[in-house]
Amino acid sequence: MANTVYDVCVVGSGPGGGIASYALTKAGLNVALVEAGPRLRAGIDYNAHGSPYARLESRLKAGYRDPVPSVFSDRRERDHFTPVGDRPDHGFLKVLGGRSICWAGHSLRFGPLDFKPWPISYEEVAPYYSRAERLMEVYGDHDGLWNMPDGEFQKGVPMRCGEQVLKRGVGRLKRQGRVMEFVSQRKAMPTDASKARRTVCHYCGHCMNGCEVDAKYTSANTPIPLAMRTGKLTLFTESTMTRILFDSAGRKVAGIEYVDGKGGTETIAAKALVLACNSIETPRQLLINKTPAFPNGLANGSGQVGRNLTSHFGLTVTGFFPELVTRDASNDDGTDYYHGLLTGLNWDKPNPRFEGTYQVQCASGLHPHRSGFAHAPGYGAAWKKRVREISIAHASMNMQGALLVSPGKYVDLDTERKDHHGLPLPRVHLRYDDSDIAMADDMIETCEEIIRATGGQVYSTPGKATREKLQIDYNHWVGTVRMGKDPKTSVLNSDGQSHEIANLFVGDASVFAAYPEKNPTLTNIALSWRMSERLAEKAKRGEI
Amino acid sequence: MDRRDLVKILGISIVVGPEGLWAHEHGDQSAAAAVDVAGYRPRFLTAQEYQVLGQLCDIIIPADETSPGAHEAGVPFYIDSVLFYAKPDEQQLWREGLKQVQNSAMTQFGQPFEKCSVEERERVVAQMAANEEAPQTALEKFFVPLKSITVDAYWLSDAGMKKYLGYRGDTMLREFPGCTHPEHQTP
Repeated sequence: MANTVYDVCVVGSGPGGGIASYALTKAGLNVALVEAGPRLRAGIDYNAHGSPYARLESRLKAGYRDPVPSVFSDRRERDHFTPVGDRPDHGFLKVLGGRSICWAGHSLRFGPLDFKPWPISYEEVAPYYSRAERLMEVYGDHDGLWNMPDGEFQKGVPMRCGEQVLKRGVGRLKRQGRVMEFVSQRKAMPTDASKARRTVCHYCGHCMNGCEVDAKYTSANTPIPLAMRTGKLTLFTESTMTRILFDSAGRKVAGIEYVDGKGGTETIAAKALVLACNSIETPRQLLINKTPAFPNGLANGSGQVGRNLTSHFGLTVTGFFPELVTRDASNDDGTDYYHGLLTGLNWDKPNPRFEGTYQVQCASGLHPHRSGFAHAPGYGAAWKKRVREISIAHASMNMQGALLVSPGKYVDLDTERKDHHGLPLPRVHLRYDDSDIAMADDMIETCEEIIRATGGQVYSTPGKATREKLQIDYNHWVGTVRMGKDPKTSVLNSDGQSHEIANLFVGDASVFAAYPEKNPTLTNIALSWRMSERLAEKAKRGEI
Repeated sequence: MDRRDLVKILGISIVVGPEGLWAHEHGDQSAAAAVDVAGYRPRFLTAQEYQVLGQLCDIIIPADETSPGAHEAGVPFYIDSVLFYAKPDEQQLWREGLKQVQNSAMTQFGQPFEKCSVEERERVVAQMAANEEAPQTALEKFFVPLKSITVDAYWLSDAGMKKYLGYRGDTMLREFPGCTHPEHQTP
């Protein structure tokens, strides 16, 4: 292997790296895919079905506290970054497939409005959305919304009673002239046996624990096996990149150095490098690997690496609906918690009180693995009856707002703390702006209004939003290696290629030029697919 | 690419009917389903502490006409198992907390908690829970982890899930029916 020079080395096998390995090998290139974690087997290494009590002893013995196994909470990285400011967190899972193993599957297209600040338009990305939806097997309804366009869907999954009741409230407010929409969720799991290429979803609700039959799309169950099948993919699992190597002139990437599972240091030679490590790790790697030719870090002539950090943030409002207390709640599992989505807010005109947009993920139903309501104050017979009722007859509204891009939000290197390879850990800086808090206030008011409009009671609410109450979405970070037309204000061009280093590309969501309220993964996959094809074309033309 | 190819690559088998798939993927789980919570002997707590714990849990989640209380559901088994594997500082916290309960019973009623009348035991728990959201005394502070794990354990127990909540999920469906009530959907 020592003499092999790969056409491309892809680092990271999450949503972006997985699709890159497929698209690049499909285009005929020889690819090395490097993943820090091991390969897990669905149904064997993770499976949340079954009696928690029957599993308690073996789970405790293995060092876990929760008898219900969950890939993310069992294996997520801890103490791997330094939080600064308003309690930032960072979800990071080192396994083949990355966080696609534990994602909920929410797959919403960004719309024409969302791409306005980008160097590429919705129309340019749309064909990649279509391909991604077909490969990922996304289900959904055709809702006809202009800024969350319909896609290539398998048949949709219906809402539960609680989500329907919220939709009824939204309908009433719309008739009073309010501009908003309430639709079913769109998720990446096959629902139609006549079309499905993976196992059809069986609606057990364990999506985020890890889908034990591989119905839900992951990098590990679809693009990586397809890439293997081309014969052009070499997989390096349990291999951690420790350095980016350069050619003798110091202007082009020549490969990477990595530490393998046994602790040995090895190298991979490649003609091009795709970083798909995630929106905290990719800027970290670019900053760590500074060289005499690139003293501010790789691809960082603009000084924008690590800047423009944004994510989603939110709060939850819960409604109680007496009319639902007596309904049949025997199996509300479905496709995890959220079956409904409140959207279309502020698409028509910006809200004068804040910048950006938010959506609200809506959920309901009785879920025994979420005893949240039972932690309400009280005890005894009356309390026991009440927490059962609220569990059955609630609907919860979880705000997902786009965090304002501002100078107080960024990633840099910790000057003191290092990982066990001696490399500086990243610092994540989060400071909520007044606009963020105003957005949360608007969300709280809107949700309470919907709950009342449909005849419900507000069961729990944050009341007035404050910096302390806001919760960051630790899996949705984007923007730290943004694309743009101007090399002075962006890191990458619109192909996902460094402005400065012709054979360096980025395939994760750090490339996002701006962030709407919608979940990032589908767009990450569409863009990484597009980037990979551009890379392959450039390689064929000898441009990298 | 056709479906069969992907199946081959992934090394999984797709069985047409859901029952078949269940048997294939989940056989190991159902085989391990039985836990004898009634016959369980505590491994961390003493017999006396275990008895006190069972009585405390049963006041927090009592039996009613629909479902058993926390004790019968196996909550003390769950808690003792967790504590058996817990770190020493957490074990110490529980040992200390249960001692506080005993002290309180002895001081007020002149006998150990497990020998007190139902009313007396309920009075101790009422004192423990008096300040749940801002606990001050050692007894009040112990109520927080006690209730938290009692609730989690009850919700994950067979009796909690099936009898109390009426849950029949964690299964395999061909279709998810969703809401079928016209009145919930009427604009």
